Amino acid sequence: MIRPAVALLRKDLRTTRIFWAPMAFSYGVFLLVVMESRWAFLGTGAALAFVAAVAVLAIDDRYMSEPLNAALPGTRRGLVGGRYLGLAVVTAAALALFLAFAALIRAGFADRAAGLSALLTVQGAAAFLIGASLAGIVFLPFYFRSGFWRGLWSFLAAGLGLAIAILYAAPRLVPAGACPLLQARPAAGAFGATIRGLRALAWLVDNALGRPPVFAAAAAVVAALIFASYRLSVRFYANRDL
Amino acid sequence: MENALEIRNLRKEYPGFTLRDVSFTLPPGAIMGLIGPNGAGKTTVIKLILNVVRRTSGEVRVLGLDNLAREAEAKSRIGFVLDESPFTGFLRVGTIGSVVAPYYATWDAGRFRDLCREFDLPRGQRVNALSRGMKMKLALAVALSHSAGLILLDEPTSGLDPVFRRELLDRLQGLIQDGRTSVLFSTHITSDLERVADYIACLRDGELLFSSTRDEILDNWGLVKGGPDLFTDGHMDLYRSVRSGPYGWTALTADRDQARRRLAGKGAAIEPVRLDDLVFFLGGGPGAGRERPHD
Repeated sequence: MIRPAVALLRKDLRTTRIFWAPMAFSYGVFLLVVMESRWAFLGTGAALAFVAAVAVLAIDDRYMSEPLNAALPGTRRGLVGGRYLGLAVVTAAALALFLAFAALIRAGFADRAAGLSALLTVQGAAAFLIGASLAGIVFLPFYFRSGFWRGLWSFLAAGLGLAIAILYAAPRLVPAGACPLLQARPAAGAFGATIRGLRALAWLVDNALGRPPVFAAAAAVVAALIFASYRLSVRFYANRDL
Repeated sequence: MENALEIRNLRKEYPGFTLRDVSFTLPPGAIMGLIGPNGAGKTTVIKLILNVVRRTSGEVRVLGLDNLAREAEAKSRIGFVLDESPFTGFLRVGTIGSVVAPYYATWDAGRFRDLCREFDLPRGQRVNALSRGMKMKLALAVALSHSAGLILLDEPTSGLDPVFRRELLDRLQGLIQDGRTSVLFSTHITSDLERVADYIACLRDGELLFSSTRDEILDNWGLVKGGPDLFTDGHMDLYRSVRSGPYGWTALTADRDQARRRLAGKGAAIEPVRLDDLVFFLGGGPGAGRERPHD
């Protein structure tokens, strides 16, 4: 399984390498735009990392290369493994870029980007990794089941549901009275709930993610999700006609 | 020596189409042509061999290897050309080789370079800028660059100019001279098969009508032409398909000698068959059938 997975990764990297420089440049520009809010900076960074990771899938879909991938030596399991490997490599590269840009922007615009210091920590890196990899591991089973575009629409629907669930669950993970912003009188309805969820998430990243037990628990949950996502992807892809 | 390809009771069910229990064998060092009208299942058979689509039931063995149980090994010994170019359009011809190379332990970069040169493929050209025929040549160059034991070609000659088509057929014949390499190719251009194929398999509506040597088909099958009295119930067992036209009736028979004996003195013209006649008669369509034509 390893050889075809690595071969697919190499193929993907060769295919996308002409985009690396423009993507890195655009990444920096987008991050520059949102430098004044560290949360916007984190969200944009993680979202763009996900976009970069799935770009090669869009290219394969555009050129109808999936039958080629499946016909080349290897198994469907190997192909799925190659895609997860690709996701890991791109996310790791994006994390390195993200931290480099955060440091550069923080140094260059100290007065406007002071908040970025908080991202140049283990918590910041962990939050980035959780966000970027969560998107990928939710998307890939849909991709392997239905192809790129149908998979993307299903992912967006599922992602919306998942986001709502996380935003509703997050305030319940914050100890009572620990976060003053959560005590403020909330706005009514879904908007208010979203704001509360985002504030709770921010508090969790700032105050809880840095603690070793919480960090370990988060890592374990992400690892379990990756395993479940991979198993689902293998199952879906095993029987798909290309 | 193992057969290059053994297909037993291969079945694939799609909504609206079923490939029904296809079985045939391709010996080593031979070329087999897969013929049949559009939608007969030719591409499906090739995709099933490559596991690009999943079979409902049946068995496929490539050079003795089960194509599911030993999928990677089996596929590493297959060179293939799919019906549509699957290469990323913005990559250059030379890059395609390096993209595919890691999949094959036996990849020969020098051979790929030589083939690109022979096929007049500019290595710096982007795939997008190639014509359909040139894309086909590129796919062929990839298929022939890793010493495959079985070459699968889905409509390889469509879009090629006659000169290169002839060159390709010659090359295929050259490939099998080692006695180990075999070729299975689907085509609509039956004259190509008459030139190079050792075996012919014919599909219609997902069913294998026959699989036999080319010589056996060309020697034994024939066309019977004549008036309606030749198409009475007493003779209908001779015919595989009958078509009526403005100038009489024509039937396809699988036994030309028997037809000659039984129809002697009845004004029948019995002619050798060509492969495109087979596709025409066995492919269904207007005027085809086995029932006695009415005058």
